[in-house]
Amino acid sequence: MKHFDLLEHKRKQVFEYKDDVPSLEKIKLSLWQAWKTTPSKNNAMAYEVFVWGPDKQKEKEIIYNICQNSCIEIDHQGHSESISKGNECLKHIKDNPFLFTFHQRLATPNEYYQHSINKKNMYYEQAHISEMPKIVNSVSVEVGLFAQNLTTYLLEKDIDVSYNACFKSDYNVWQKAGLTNITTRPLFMLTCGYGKTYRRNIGGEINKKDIKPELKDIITWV
Amino acid sequence: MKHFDLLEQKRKHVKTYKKDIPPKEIIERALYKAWKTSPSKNNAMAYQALVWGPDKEIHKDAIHSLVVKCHADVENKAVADGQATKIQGAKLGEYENPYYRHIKENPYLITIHSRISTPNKFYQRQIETGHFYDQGFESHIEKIVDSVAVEVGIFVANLTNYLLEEGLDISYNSCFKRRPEQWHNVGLHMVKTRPIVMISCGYAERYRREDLQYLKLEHEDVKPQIEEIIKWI
Repeated sequence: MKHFDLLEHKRKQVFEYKDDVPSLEKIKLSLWQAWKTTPSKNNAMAYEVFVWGPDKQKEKEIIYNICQNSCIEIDHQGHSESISKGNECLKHIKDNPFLFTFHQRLATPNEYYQHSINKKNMYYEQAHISEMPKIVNSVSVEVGLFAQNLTTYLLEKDIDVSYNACFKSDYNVWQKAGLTNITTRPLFMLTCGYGKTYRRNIGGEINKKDIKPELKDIITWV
Repeated sequence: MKHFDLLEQKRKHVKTYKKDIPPKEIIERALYKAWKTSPSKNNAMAYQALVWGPDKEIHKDAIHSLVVKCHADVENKAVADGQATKIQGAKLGEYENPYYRHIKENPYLITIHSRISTPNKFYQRQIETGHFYDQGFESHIEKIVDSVAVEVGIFVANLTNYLLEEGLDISYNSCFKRRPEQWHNVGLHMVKTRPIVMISCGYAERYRREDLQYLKLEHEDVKPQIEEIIKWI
């Protein structure tokens, strides 16, 4: 199936996953394929992917609560009288076979770049803690490249995916909630499994009005 | 061709492009497909792609100057902060990283920038019930830029795929000045919001890896091991 058809027909935000768990081999292969084919500036890959499997229910509940609290807090920023109770569409964060969370990572230069640092005065910013906040935008773009490639490899294996970008990006919040293994900034999350219900199938007629901006709003020929 | 094979065999960083110009229809089709298949939080797509075509050579030179300046400023700052002791001395016309040349010499350059979006009817209704649509506020551009950058990465990954499928080559760049005022200073007044990434495309004349192969350095420039990137909890 061509890439366009795969995404058009198969990529649908999941509201609820089935209890069936995709095989570990398929998940591992998809992750390997994404790692192998995703490029990175200076070959640094200044991010890491944490995989929370089927046995990590307690941890997923904690992450889910972090997401819901973030959602409620943001709604309050906009409307101080907001009575937001969070977002029911985040259910996929706690109920899924596999959850992937992406975090920043301090990189180590490979042999080629180490030589450039030593002999050609190159500055390798991905190796410095102090640079992490400055380069987070460009690392985030690379996370998007990886997430899309991972999406494609999972969809090719008939595994559904869903995204989430609503969470506290301060890793201290994660640590205080009990996830002490999180030591750097979270950037994105992706869940996968077999879809039972999709977001587009809930909510009724109003969903038809949930459309993306027109092409002319996004692409401008200078 | 399967996605994996397409990327493994065809995605290679371009050092120089041929003079041949791909038909505009190919670029338009790839952009349409990327727009159509890239999802976005709240369906906001809080970014926009500016396409600089074959007739925009002066503009591309100006953008390239912002790349060289970024290279120089990053290294000067590192020395000032004590993170490095020497600089490479990047300076326009004197020392320019040859792997940034694709930014000024290409048939098409696509720069992607933040955008203030307008909620669709579904989200207008959500706003009435207390939802905060942060993509609609200029004051929130910097606050949400990281999550917008992830979406830009998703869009770029899809655009890459559609261009490669058409037989084109592409290259990325994330070294450039990020304030719109800095773009205005070199005459690019049409840029109103912060740039996030850029991608060039055309037909390759020479790839970066050919340089590495010639210098017998390809085995040194490798990515981190998978165990460093993927952590099973």
